[in-house]
Amino acid sequence: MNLEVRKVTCGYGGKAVVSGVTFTLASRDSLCLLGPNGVGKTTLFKTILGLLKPLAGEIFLDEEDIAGWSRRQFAVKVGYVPQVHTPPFPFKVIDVVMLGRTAHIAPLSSPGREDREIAEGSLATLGIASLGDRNYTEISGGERQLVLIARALAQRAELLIMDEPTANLDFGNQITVLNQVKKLVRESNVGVIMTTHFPNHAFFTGSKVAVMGRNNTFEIGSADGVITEEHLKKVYGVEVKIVTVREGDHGTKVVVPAA
Amino acid sequence: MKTTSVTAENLKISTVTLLLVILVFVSFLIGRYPLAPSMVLRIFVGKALHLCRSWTDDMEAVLFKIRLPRIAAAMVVGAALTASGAAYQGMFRNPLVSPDILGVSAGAGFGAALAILLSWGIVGIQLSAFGFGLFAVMATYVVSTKFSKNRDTVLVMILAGVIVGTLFSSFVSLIKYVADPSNKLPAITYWLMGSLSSVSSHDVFVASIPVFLGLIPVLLLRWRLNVMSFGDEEAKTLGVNTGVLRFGVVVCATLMTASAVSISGVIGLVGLIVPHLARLLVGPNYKVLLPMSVVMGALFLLGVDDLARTMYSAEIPLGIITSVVGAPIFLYLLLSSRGSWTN
Repeated sequence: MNLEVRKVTCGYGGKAVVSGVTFTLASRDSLCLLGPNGVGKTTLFKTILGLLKPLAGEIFLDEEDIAGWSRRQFAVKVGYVPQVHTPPFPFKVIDVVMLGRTAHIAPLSSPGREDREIAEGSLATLGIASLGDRNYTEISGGERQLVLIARALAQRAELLIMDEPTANLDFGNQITVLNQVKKLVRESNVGVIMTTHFPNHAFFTGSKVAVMGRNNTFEIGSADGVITEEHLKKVYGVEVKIVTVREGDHGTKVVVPAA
Repeated sequence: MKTTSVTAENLKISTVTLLLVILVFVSFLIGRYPLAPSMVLRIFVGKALHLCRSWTDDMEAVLFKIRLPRIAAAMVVGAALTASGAAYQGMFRNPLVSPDILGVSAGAGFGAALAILLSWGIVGIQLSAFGFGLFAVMATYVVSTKFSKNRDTVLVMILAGVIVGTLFSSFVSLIKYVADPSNKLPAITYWLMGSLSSVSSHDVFVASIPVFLGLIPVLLLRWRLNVMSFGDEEAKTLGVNTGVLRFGVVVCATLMTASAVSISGVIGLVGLIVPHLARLLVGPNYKVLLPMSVVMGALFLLGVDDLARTMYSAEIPLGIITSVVGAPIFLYLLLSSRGSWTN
């Protein structure tokens, strides 16, 4: 998988929210998107997902312009992992994951045994195989987020787009989800773009980082290069300190509020 | 291990189907003209094998001219209302909608009443019911999506449906007002209350064609109804062309509702309650839910019609019984799952 976003401007109804965004992403790569609320992270996501047409610029996936793609073409390449939600009906977890097979089966058919096995495999990949027969509405928020990731895996998408996968999760679940995302990028042949409100998550996952600011700024690079005290102050308007926590010869950077 | 749940659900569908078969047989026995079970069996077997007749013309007429069309009509109408209710609920992601709540039944009822007033035949009634039913559901949908900013569509859609339904009901009153009180008015009034008593085999035949035309695509697309339950954006990213699918399924569901309304009048709450009863039995997966809804809808309305025929010496209109039976079930459903519905 190789995503190329070339000078993309996106927004609603002709009004640009984000402009001139350029970056690339390959398999086994992850990109953490940071930025205050309302800077257009979701707008950019929707544009990459083909839900919004870019106002300018082009998006190429594996050297193909996505502009004319059908929903089905998108679905076999790009998987969307929304924020944890409650559907109106209490579907079983395995059925939710099998929804990911929709793009792979004929329009007038239902998933069969093979699709079920793929879905079970996706749950197993994320270590939640035992949830299959539970009701999606009755499991925890963290489990639900993992189920939604499993659905994107069942979709066999090579690019996963995750909208704040740690939002509304308790502390333990945030770390579980991030660990799984990290493992996925390392071990499966996927690329991940995710948004988060926590710069620490970007340090933790060791991914590329893009920071979107209020005035249409878009800076991309390594976590160490982009997440700096000055930059965070500029974007979020707060004083922070970046410190390194050492454990043996291993160090992890964390952002803490400045005293 | 996982396949057992699917077969368990298939077993439930088979059980309900068996109940339906038994009830169909029982329904042939019910009525003013007494027919013993053995006689009914003898007539059926005799007819099927072309044996020489050991029954009277009257018996045959009661069985085939009176009871058979009525039984068929109850099943077709019940299946149509339930399947369309289940389809609307998934399509609009709204567990509280049904043909009547969306205003479709009232729209179709107006179309049919207009056609009766203008003395159109059964085909005209069907077409008119379908046209106005479709218009009503579109109106409800457009109003509710325009007026609810994003998430709160569940209640706004119900309110929009109420408004559209009320509007069409008042149009129906207008039609009753101008209808000829000696022949047209009683026909319209009695038909509106929801009754299958005067249904002919020709009516049932004509109405069942659009029901099947609507039902078959919805059954084939039933997996995609699951996808739609998760909302437009997710459905799109899962590879579904939501605009085309929604339009197609809504047209099919409205076609089923309109044909049901045009032979039986407005029968309330069936399309809301029976899909939920089916959901309680087999869960929300449309792969099994939709076939289950079809069978349970047929079973439910046939049972209610049998009640209507036998409870009193004078027949009670169906719509009254379904509402009386349905309202408490609806309240129970509302109470038992209010948390998950308002999210």
